[in-house]
Amino acid sequence: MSRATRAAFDEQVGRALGDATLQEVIRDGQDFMQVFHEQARGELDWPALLDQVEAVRSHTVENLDYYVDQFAANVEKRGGVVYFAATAQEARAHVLALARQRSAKLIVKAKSLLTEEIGLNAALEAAGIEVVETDLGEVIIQLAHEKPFHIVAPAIHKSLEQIRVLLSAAAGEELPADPAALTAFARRFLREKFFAADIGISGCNFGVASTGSVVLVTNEGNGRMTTTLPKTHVVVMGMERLVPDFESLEPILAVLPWMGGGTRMTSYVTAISGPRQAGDEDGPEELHVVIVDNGRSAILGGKYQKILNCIRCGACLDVCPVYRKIGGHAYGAAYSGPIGAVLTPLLDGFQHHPELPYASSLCGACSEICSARIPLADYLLELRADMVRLGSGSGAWQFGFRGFAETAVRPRVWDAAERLAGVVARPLTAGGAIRWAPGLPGLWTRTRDLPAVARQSFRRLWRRRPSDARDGEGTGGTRRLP
Amino acid sequence: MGRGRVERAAFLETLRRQLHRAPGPPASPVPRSPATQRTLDDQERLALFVARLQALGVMASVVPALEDAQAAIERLALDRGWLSISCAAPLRWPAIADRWKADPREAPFGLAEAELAVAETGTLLLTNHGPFRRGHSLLPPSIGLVVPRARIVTGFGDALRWIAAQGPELPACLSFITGPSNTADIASVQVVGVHGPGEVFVWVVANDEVEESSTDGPADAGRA
Repeated sequence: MSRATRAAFDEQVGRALGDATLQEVIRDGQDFMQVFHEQARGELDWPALLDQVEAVRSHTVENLDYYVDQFAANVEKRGGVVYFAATAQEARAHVLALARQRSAKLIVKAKSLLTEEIGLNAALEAAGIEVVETDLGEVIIQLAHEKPFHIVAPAIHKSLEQIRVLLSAAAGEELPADPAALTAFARRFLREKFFAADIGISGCNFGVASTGSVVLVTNEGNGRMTTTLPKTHVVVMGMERLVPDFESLEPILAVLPWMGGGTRMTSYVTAISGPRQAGDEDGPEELHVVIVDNGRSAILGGKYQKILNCIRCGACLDVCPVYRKIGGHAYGAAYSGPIGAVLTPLLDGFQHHPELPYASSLCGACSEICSARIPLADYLLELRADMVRLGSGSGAWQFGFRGFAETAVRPRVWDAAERLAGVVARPLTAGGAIRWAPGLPGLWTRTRDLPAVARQSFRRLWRRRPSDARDGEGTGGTRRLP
Repeated sequence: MGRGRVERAAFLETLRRQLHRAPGPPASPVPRSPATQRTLDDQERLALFVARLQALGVMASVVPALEDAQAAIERLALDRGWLSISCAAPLRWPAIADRWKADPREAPFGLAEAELAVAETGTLLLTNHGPFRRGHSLLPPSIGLVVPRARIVTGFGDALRWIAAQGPELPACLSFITGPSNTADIASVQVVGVHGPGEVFVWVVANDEVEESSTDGPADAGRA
């Protein structure tokens, strides 16, 4: 997992804020999806559905050892091979070994956030293997050498012209600025890759424990191509992506297509149960399933456990006011938006992603929309508290909060600080606002105005209020209402 | 004990330790959804299914008998100049014997029979096994799907319960298909046919003359 430094975070935020076209694209994308959210709520008994999703996901995660074991046993019964990877490094090494054993030269991939999380493409490419993403959005960002901007729509930030230029370079000819023509080129280009590929790698939206089935939820059909044409199919999945049985998918498949793509159902839901069976005329000859922990087990049993309930619908990104401004790349990892701000530090360590829990206004829109009822805003606040407890943050940050804590409990010191602030702020104030300030306050005024310091503080006004307003104060009696 | 077994045991032990769980099944049963879907009679179910298909851009027809669907396919092949149709051998008929092809890679049209259809979502469920290849409904740019009217169920949950009722020996691939392959990854403009078929035809056979498969029909798929 890549690690975002403060400078990289600031740079990506600055870039997003300074790009008027990007701001428009993100805003339009969010507004577009919110129309579908409303439609879904009107058509279905939404609160009941979310309760059901939460119940199924919580039950599965609370009993994850049982369902992982059952799923693995059933994959094996169907002729699949299961591998357990405790770390990203183990997962990469195993897939690489599989590829080497089969002398693979070309691998096609269906969209998988987990393979992005563990950096699988880079490891395979470093070994001289050509890796071709096949989801159209993933193709575009692979050609642009970028990370996904959105967990469902990875290339949502790219304009038609940017995509035309990227695909024209791949085609070796100038393609027209027409989505249908560009898509037709992608179909031709990728179909050759599908037919030539030695291995197909997919993620797993849901693994069905009772049958060992791998369920893929897609619109384009690249998931079906990846799991049909190459001789070897490798599934790389997070260990929490299970449901007990097919019936458990009912509420999830009622919610996910609406939240992820604004439809009642995706074009394809495909359930793979083992490699091709005796007598089957197509399908892969081998199925390998790599079940990955990579930090997930450390979340189990703790106060953040419900984050593993996520069904990756992307709805939290579509309502987040911070994502709306900073976009997906600032999160510096496979997962962006509120889910990324919580999940990435938990999987990879707070110390490597100290900005992410603060990339939120704590407005609670993410918690409200979440398909699995994950309390994302509460988790973001809790993460901040954990980071402080662990001593995260710069010396100035720690000093500042310690100073605030000392001042806030001493009325005289507080009064003095208020007066000092008024004196210091006066020369910086113009037109009722402070538009520039040196040092730490400058971090604020770089992007926003700071309101001028009031002539009188609230505490002074409180002390000077008319005497009749003070009646009843401190008596423990009934307060007089206005 | 092989290395794989050791890894598996250690992996599962980590999960148990974190969850403070003893080995064994969950203490509580799998939560089940209360029935929320509407109740439809046969006519309403058919009407909803066709309406949903049309909204998805699928060319849907209700025909009295299987022969009518076959005749429609023959006319379509003639009109479009399709020289080959990829289809599993058990579904073929003699009138266009020169056009049948097992390999769907180069065929302009693929034909398959659906095991089940879902009215509320306009979805068809295909079971891919033996000669019923995944590729027939995936690789050609146009596909046709035939489903007997009696196999239309109301909600997606009915189809999931039907799968659950089949037991552990499922076909290697089950494909739910809802309209054409599509994407909006370029400038949020909807385009069909990005990888799979861009054109989908559905024939609902009203009097169920498509040969019954060996599996239980949707009559057994309802919620208990």
